[in-house]
This record gives sequence, structure tokens and C-alpha cells, in this order.
Amino acid sequence: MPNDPKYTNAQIIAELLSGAWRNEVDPAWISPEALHDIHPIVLSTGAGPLCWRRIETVPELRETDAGQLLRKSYLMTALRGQMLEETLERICEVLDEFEVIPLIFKGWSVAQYYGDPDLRPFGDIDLCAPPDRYLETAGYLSQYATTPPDGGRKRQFVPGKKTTVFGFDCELPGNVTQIDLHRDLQRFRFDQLEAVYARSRLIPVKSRQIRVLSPEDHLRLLCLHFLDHGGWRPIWLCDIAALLEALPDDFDWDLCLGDDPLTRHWVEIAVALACQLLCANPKTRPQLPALPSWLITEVLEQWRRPFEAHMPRTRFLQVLLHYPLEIVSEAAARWPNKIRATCATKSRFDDRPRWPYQLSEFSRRAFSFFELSGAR
Amino acid sequence: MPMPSEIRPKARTARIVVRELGSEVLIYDLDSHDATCLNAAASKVWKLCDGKRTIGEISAELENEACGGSAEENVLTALENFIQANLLEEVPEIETSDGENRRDVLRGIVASATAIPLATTISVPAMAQIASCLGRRERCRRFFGPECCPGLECRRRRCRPE
Repeated sequence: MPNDPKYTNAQIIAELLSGAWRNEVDPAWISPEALHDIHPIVLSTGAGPLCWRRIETVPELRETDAGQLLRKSYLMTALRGQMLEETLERICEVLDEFEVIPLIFKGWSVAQYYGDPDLRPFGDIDLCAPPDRYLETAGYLSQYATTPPDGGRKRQFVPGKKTTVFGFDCELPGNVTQIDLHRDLQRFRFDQLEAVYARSRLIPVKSRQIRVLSPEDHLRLLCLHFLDHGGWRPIWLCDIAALLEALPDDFDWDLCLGDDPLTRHWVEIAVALACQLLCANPKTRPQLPALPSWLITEVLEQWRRPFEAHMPRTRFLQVLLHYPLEIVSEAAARWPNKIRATCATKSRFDDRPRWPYQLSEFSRRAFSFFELSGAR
Repeated sequence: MPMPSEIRPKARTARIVVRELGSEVLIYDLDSHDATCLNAAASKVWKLCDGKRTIGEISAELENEACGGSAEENVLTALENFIQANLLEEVPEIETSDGENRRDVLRGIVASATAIPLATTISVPAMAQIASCLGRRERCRRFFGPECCPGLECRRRRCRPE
């Protein structure tokens, strides 16, 4: 752990989240002042319910304003979870009519690995259609498409795009849910969707069976997703930790890690990070690599930054046109983080300096920006 | 004014999402988008508001569990909270001899009860919402990018009070 005081809040967040996904948690021992300092970041990144679980039995933390906000975030997550579950059932019902069984991953399906699924907020529903039925499924869902919850335009599916985003109105006014329909899972380095489907499992939800990824595939996907996004959201690492501790006895690590050496290395790195930073304690684990010295510091750097810093920035072209004096600061803000740059350049997490990878990724993005601008 | 025992409150069931969480009940109003959390005492009253039981009967059922104050007082306080949060179905509009309707009567009765909050509105800034607006004197742009928080406007590239 870095000694720099600028990481104190991020370290407190890591400490609060350690083991928070379990059925039984140890009470947290932090000061009310520290809780006050971290609560905005914790709430905005969706880790409020998990932190509440750690402080709910500590009166001096529970009764503070920050503590009560965390409690409310837990209550709201529980309510919202129920509404999203109803939406999920409705989606499955709609697709059932066309004999399409979707494959659900991330969000709701990973919440099922938590001691209490209400601890894990999820805002959208990620799903895949069976192999070769993507366009058809997009067509069925688009009949129900409505304005997405972010207030954006009503979007229809675009053939050729990797993901189609729908707003789905499940006949509950105000309960418009975003659905991300994925064409395939190549982004998570799964080449054969058929094989992923064949390994998938059914879990009962009320009167229905919902198809979810096998634990092997899900762990791999969560690890790659966490790294691909630069590890900025603490609950993504909690997802990995929760799944690691819920692995079934017959879990096949070789299947999870796959044959590709780079994918294998990335998954092992994310698993090692969950074990080291959040104290995940899986029943079995592969031989894990040593984490490079910069990695935990980089994750904490991401966790200490406010939510807004991770949001998409204003288009660079608009900056060029309207705010030319801010080009340098805008370019600096676009400097890729070390984790993302490592993944984007398909490299290993080792102790070599990261700036060449960051420079390479920055240049690639700058080049594609100018290429696109030129094309326009 | 009619006796409370004449009124049979009925919990609203339409256009709400109800979630039981331990001894508490969470209710989300799909029309107003308000969420309400009923504590253990209010939850028990809520479950007994079936439109068949009178307030007196509900109080009698909860008599043994009343802690502090009479059971009827607790029931009336809970009902007041339910009315404020719009969690009761419309009480039939039956005119009383004074020209008041039953809802008004119920409101009158419960308003006299001790006001202990048994139901609290829960609103927590949605994920992203808490940090997605810019605070006072933070750098901003007028036409794009994150907006200033309520009460502030973007002037001379800084969020300033309106």
C-alpha cells in the first residue's frame, strides 16, 4: 500500500469494502470524519450499500449523516433491484414468445453471488442473444424500445454495431431500464459464443429460469471488464471478490483462464488484486503472479478520484473549436490510465515503466481522432 | 365527527412497488417516484390496512405490541404518515352529517395524534447524480459538459450563484 496521504481516502474505501459482500461481516473501525470524507465517492460509485453493511452495527458511524445516507442507498438499491428484477422477467417473457433465451451477465447476475444481492446496485441489464440470433432479437426488443433512462434519443438497433442500447419500458411507469444487447462476447476475449452458451447455467427467479454465464466464464469476463475499464469502480473488484468466494467445488480454473497466455495473465492479475486489496479468500486459486509495484497505487488513484472524472469528456473537436486555450489541459485529462493503457496495448502487467504504453495508447487515440476529423 | 372505529383504511396497492426488508417495508410510488420506508411499527399497521378492519380493530390487534403510547395512538400516527406519503387508497367519499368526507375525517383524526415519524421518505442522490454537477466556483462551460449544481449558473467559466 502506498504511504502517500493523498491515497488515504481510497485506502479507507478499500478497507471498508473488504469482505463487505459476505453474509457475515466484521464491523468497520474508521472515524466518523473519515466516513464523512469518503461518502460522496462511495455513494456515487455505487458502493454505498456495501459500506453500509460494514457500519450498520457501529452506532457512532451509523447515526451520522453520512451513515444515514449510506443506509438510504442500501434501501434504494433493494427497491430498485426488485424493480429491475421485474423488468428482467418481462424481457425474458417477451423473448420467450419468440423462443429466444437470452444470456444475462454482469449486474443482476453477479449480484446473486453476494451474501445479500441487495448490496449490489445495477443500473442496466447486459444480455446476449443466442448465436446467430442477434439481429432478430434486436428486432423483437426494439418493439418495446422507449427513450433510454439517460434521457437520450430513442435508439434502434444498428446492424453491424457491437452493442445495441435500448430503453425498455416494462409497463411500470417510470421504470424504464437500459438494456445492453451484445452481439457477442469477443470484447471479453470469448471467441465462440456457442461454447459460452453451452456452458451457461439456469438459475430460478420467481416463476422463471434465467440463463447466466457459468462461474468460469463469468469470473473471466468480470476480470477482463475490470481491467479494460481501468479499474476505476470499486464494486467491480467486489464483484470479482464475491464470485471468488462463491466458486463451486467443481470450478475449473483451466477453463476460466483459457489457453491464451495474455488472457490468462490478465485474469490472474485481477484475481490477485481482489485477494490483496479486498482480502478475498477463495477456496481454490491458481498460482497467482506478484502484482507490479505500481498497480495497487494506480487502482487507489482511480478510486480516490470523484465520479465525474471518469465520465466521458466533452468532444475534443468542440474543445478545439470553442476553447482552444484549454487544449493542453483537455489533452492531459485524456492521458490514459496505466491499467487501461496496458490492456489497450495488449501488454503484460509487469514492473516496466508504464509511460510508453500510455504514450502509445494516447497516440493511437489522437491519430484516430485526427483521422476521423479529416474524414468528416 | 365519526369515531375512528368507523373507518376502514385500505393500503394502496396500485402503481406502487413494495419490498419487505426484515421488519421494514419499502414502498416506491411509480407516479411520484417517491420511496418511503416504513419502520417495524408502521409496517404492521400497513399490513393490517386491508379495507376490512377498522382502526379500532387494527389497534386491538396491535395492543400487545404497543410500546410507548396507546396502540390506537400509534395506529393513528402511522395513518397520518401513510396519508402524507399517499399510501392509502381513496377512502370512499361518504358524506358525514357535518358535510365532511371520510378522507377529511380520517385526516382530522390522525392529525390530532402524536406526530412520531414512523414512515420516512427515502431519497438518496442517484448514482452519478451526487458528483455529476459542478460545485460553487468550479470551472464550467455554458453549453456542454457537466452542468452547475442547482442554484448555480455558469458565468465567466465558473459556477456562480444565480
